[in-house]
Amino acid sequence: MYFSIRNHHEAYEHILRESSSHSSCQLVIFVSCLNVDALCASKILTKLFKRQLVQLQLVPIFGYSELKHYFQELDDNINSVVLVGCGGMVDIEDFLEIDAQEYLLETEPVRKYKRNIYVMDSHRPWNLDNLFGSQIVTCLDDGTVEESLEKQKEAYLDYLRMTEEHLEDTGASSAGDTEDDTQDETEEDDDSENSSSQVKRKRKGMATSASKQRKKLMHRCETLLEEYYAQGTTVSNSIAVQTYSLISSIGETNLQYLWLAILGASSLDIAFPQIYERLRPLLQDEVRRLSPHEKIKTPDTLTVEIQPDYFLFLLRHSSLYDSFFYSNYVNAKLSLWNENGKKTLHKIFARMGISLSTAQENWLYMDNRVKKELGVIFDKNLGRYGLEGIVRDGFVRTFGYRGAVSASECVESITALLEMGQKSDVDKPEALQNSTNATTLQEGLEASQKLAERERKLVRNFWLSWDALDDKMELMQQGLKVAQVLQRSVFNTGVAVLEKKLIKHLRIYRLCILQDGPDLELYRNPLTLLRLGNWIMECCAEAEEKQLLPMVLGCLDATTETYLLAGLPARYPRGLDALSKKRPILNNFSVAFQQIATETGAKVRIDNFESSIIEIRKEDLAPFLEKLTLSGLV
Amino acid sequence: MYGDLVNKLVLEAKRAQQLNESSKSEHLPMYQDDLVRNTLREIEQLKRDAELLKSQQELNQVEDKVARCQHFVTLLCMERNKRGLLAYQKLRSDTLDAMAWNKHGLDSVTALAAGEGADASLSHQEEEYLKDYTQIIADMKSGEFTDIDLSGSLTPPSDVFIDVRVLKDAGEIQTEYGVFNLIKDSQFFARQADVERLIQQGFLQRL
Amino acid sequence: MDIDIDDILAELDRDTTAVDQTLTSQGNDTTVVGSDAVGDLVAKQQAAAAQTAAPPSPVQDFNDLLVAWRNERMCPEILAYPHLLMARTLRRVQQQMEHIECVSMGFYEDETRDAASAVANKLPLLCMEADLERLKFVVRSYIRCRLSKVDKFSLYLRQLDTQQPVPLTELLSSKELEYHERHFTILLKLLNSTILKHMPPELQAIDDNEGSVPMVEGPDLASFVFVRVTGPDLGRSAPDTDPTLEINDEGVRFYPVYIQELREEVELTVDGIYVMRYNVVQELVQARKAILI
Repeated sequence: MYFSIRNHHEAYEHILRESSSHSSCQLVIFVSCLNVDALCASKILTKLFKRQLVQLQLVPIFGYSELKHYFQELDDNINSVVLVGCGGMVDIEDFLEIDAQEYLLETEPVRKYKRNIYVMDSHRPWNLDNLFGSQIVTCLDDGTVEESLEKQKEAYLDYLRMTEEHLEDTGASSAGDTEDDTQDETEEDDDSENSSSQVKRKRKGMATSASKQRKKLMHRCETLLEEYYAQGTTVSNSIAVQTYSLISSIGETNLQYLWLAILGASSLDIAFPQIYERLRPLLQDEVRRLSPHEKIKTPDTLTVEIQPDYFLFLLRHSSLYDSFFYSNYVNAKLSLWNENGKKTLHKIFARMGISLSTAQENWLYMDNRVKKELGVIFDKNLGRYGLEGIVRDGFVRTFGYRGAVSASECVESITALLEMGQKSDVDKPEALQNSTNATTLQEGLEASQKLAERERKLVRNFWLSWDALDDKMELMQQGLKVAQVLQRSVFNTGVAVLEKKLIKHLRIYRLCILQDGPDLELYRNPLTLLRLGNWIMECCAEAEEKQLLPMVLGCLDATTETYLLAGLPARYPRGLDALSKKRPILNNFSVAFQQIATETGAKVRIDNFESSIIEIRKEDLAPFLEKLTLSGLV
Repeated sequence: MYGDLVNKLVLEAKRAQQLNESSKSEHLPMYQDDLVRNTLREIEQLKRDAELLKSQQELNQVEDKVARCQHFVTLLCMERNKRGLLAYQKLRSDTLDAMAWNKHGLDSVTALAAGEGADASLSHQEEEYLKDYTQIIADMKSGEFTDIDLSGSLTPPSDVFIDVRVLKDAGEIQTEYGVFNLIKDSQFFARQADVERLIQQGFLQRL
Repeated sequence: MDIDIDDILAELDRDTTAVDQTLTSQGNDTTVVGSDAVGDLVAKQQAAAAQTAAPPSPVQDFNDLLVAWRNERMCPEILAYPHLLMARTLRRVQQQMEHIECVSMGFYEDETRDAASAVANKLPLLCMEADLERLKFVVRSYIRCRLSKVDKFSLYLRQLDTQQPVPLTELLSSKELEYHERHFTILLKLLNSTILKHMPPELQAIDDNEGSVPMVEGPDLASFVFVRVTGPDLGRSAPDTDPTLEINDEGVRFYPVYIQELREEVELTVDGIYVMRYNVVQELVQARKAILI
């Protein structure tokens, strides 16, 4: 079942009622560990529950298989499970092998189950079984259902009703049929190692004695549902902001929660700018509402202010020149990756009246006059180069006298921590690789061990970012440094890609595969790969005027002999999407990948919560891509 | 020089004590069986010397200050050796005591045997002593003091509920108050009394 | 009543036992062991008073426990074990734990209540738990402190036992006695088997005090402590009940004590805080007229 935004607090109260035993832990929260939005949302949730003295356990997970593994190990005490940032797109009851009958405690006066699962996920499309078909799973929806899923809801319920009637009519014969059919289907699922079943077809074969009208109706429903699932994935909202609205409905808002919500929303800005644009005015109102009136600065004040924010990379923590140089936005607009672009950049600085030496000073020590007039300078000069969109209102948080950081910078820092861990860990992966290469015994075993180790590291990075969110400035600073390192390597790789023209233009999508390079190990992390992808996509979006193509970006991992493939949807150039009221472009790759994988029988691992990121064996890559090009699914 | 060997023992004991104090954990270096044996042999040697000197004195019947001094110094050396040996042993047994209190009973024996290597750092008698002492502690803790948990934390309790992070995968652990499903790298918000045991045993880390 | 306590103090300075001067306290707590004239007199008075006193309230007990705890931690010697106080405290701890369990079981089974009030009931529960934890901590720290002193002075206590007619049962609880016995046995076994039996016969004793350095270490009663004078029975009784309390010219009450090494008589006024050697104020502390801080 699902709760609309107005009723989210019911879920919260339900959890409070059921799981606040004083003597044992009854609440488990599973969080996707590669998602800054989910991180912020879970932080808000845990703070909220801690206030109410509810004992809880927080488990960060990397993928679906981990989720299943841990879920099945939960002990009987646990009666509330919350999934943050994951689970919305798969049929949970089916995937976690939950037998609804087993969970049933009482039926009068209201059905009660021994364990309830709450899903806070903004990945769309929702799995309809979770929404309409399950009593155990509760989806906290942000309005998608009411706005756009009317037809699907009807279709689903009708389908359900009709298949039941159908089953009653046909009886034993069709039951035998359908058993075989469902078994076939599950085998098929296992082959492709696909752990999400998108359409649970309850009855595959139609018995002969069904009435024709029902058949036709069912067929229509089926096609509707299939279309619904095939439309492609996207993210519709920020979970952190959703959680914040839950908090405001129970009346416990404060600046801490608001800041976390802002961070969650800002993290979506890179990939889904329209969401951030939509949420920004609301967040600004909240900031104005919650900010204290006196502006006295003491060492302990934590204030959030609205200040102009620029699309420059870490402006306040590096030099002006660097922030221009490494910013995705400026890169795309000016094509900084080639010589002309660099010259243009220098010209811009000249026009702005800022000498290059000033621009290359660290922001903290830069000329105060320049700093104060930056807004004016930008206004006057950047319009000429098409960079006027560089300024907009953003959120800045000050930590007493320790410093100030803007929301976007904070998000960069946290993302970098999630990708990389601490700076000291940067050298470690290489060391590990070198030492274990020498002792490779069984390839398969090594590969899976390697992967497992990598996943463990990601979970550890999760806790690092978690601690950084606790207002630990040192960790935040470290994250900023790591972010700079990462952005630099992304820039270098991107420049190499564009110069060597590694992007192949296949009819329906662009392809870019990285086989070698100095920073190849960095891109084994899905987040870093996405970062590179974003950089390239923004550049391409500016360059291509006619057709906006999606892209498949791949990176070779020599030690495990796999490729990490990410499918990125097409992107409007920045500034354009705000003007146009077009629908967001959906990511068709999740569906496409799964289908192609089943068709080619390639050994593919689709474990990630972002189902457009997969791992595929080296040998299977070429046929896979061929099929993909020919399939026309994208 | 007489007393050099025992000096080494004393120095080692002192070093171990200082290390333990600074790191707030108890480690025991290897039992220096050779040094101890040599010291004991030295004492025997000294004893023989002393007796020889005494018998010489009686024979001479002369108040030889030098001889008397020799005798005296020999006795003093013997005593010093004895003191050194006892100090060494006592310091080690004090460390064992502290370990027994901190590591909750039999864990300590297994930890030492397994952790510090096959060549255990304890002599045979020390192992027995440890076993007996843990038994004494267990008996002490039972009875009227069960609720108090004498081997619990010696810092005043601050919060009733604390955040702890799991360091090792340990499956389900049953404590007196409830069940904890320890998944590595997950975080708990639980009652301090419940998790204190696990923190001391090294499964959890307090934040 | 003017009592000359010089002889008592002289006795104290001479031998370093801690047991035989244990004076009484009001109430049903510790037992009467006094062996001199003064002790007897005071004891008789207080025993009489004790019979008419009511059992102490939990608050009083808690304060007494805190005082005992602080005293024990600051004191160089082992103080007497407050048998009855501990028994009462432990009993109360157990009762409270059962009570908390009942409450926490009880309220959360009642689901007809809404979330808000269910959670509101948690707060008093939390306070009770926090308080119980604190009490347990105090008891734990107290017992551990005593045990460490027992370990430190184990030979010394054995000597006491053999020298004095008064058993150690006043000083230590039965469990502590057992601990002492057993620990000493296994330690002796260890030391004997590793070292002492290999020694020449005249060096084989473990409590040999005749060598150059005595082997048995007693408590250092001359160490400095901070002491606060409270008055008779920790300040709870009226000052006139205590014969040793004197009044000086300005109407301020004080205890006179004599510092041997300075040959000085000092007035310790009530509610005053002093730093002195322990042996000077030992009697006052043991009589519950002053506390160590």
